[in-house]
Amino acid sequence: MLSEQRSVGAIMNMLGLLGITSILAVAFFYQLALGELPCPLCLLQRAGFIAIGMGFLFNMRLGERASHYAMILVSSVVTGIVSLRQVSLHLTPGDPGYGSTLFGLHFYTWALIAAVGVVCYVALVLVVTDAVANRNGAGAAPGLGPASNTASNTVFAIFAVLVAANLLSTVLECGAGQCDDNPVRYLLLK
Amino acid sequence: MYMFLPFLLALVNCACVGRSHAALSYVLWGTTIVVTVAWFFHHATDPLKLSF
Repeated sequence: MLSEQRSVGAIMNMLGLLGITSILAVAFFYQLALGELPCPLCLLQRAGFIAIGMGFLFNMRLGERASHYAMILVSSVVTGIVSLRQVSLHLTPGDPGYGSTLFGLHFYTWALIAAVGVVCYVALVLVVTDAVANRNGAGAAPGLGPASNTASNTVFAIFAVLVAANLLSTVLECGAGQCDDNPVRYLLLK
Repeated sequence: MYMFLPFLLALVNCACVGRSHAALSYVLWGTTIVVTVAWFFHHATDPLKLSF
C-alpha cells in the first residue's frame, strides 16, 4: 500500500530545501550583481540558513525523523537570534541600515522573517504529515518516485553548489581570519 | 577565527549526506551550529543603544 504520508513529507521537505536554496541564491545574486559584500553577521545568517537546509536534507536523504525537524528548529532559532541582533543594531531612528533593500526591507530583516517562517513551515509539515497518516493509517513507506528523486537530487545539487560558492567567496573575502565589520573589497583579490 | 569554517563544515556535511553517513552528518551539523554561535558571540560585542 502506498503511504501518502511519506510522499507528502518528502515533497514538503524538498520544497523547504528549495526555499532555503532560493534564499541563498538571492543573497549570492546581490553579492555578485550589486557588489555588496556580506558583513560577518550576514555570513552567520547564511550559515544558519545552510544549517536549516541541512535539516531538510537529512529528512530527504536519511529519512524523516523528529530529530531532523528539531535540528531545523534549532537552526531557525540561531538564525533568528543573529538577524535580530543585526535588526537591533540598526533599529534607532535615522539609522540608514546596512546594505540595500528588497521590497523595502533590509536583508537581515528578511532573514528574521524567514527564520520565523521556517518554524511555521515545520509546524505545517508536521500537521500535514500527521493528518495524512491519520487518514490512511500506518502504511508502508515507499519513498519518493523516480521523478521526485530527480527533483530532490537537483535541489540537493544546487544547494551543495551554493554552499561551495559561499565557502569560496568567504575565503576570498575574509582570508583565514575574521571579516571586516563593513567589508568593501575581497581581501584576497586586492 | 576562521570565518569560512561554518561553510567548510557544511560542504563536508553535504558530501557525508550524499554518502548516507548519518552519524558523521549529525556531528558535523552540531559542530556547524556550535561554530556559528561561537562566531556570533565573538562578533556581537557592541552594546545596543536600546532601552526597554
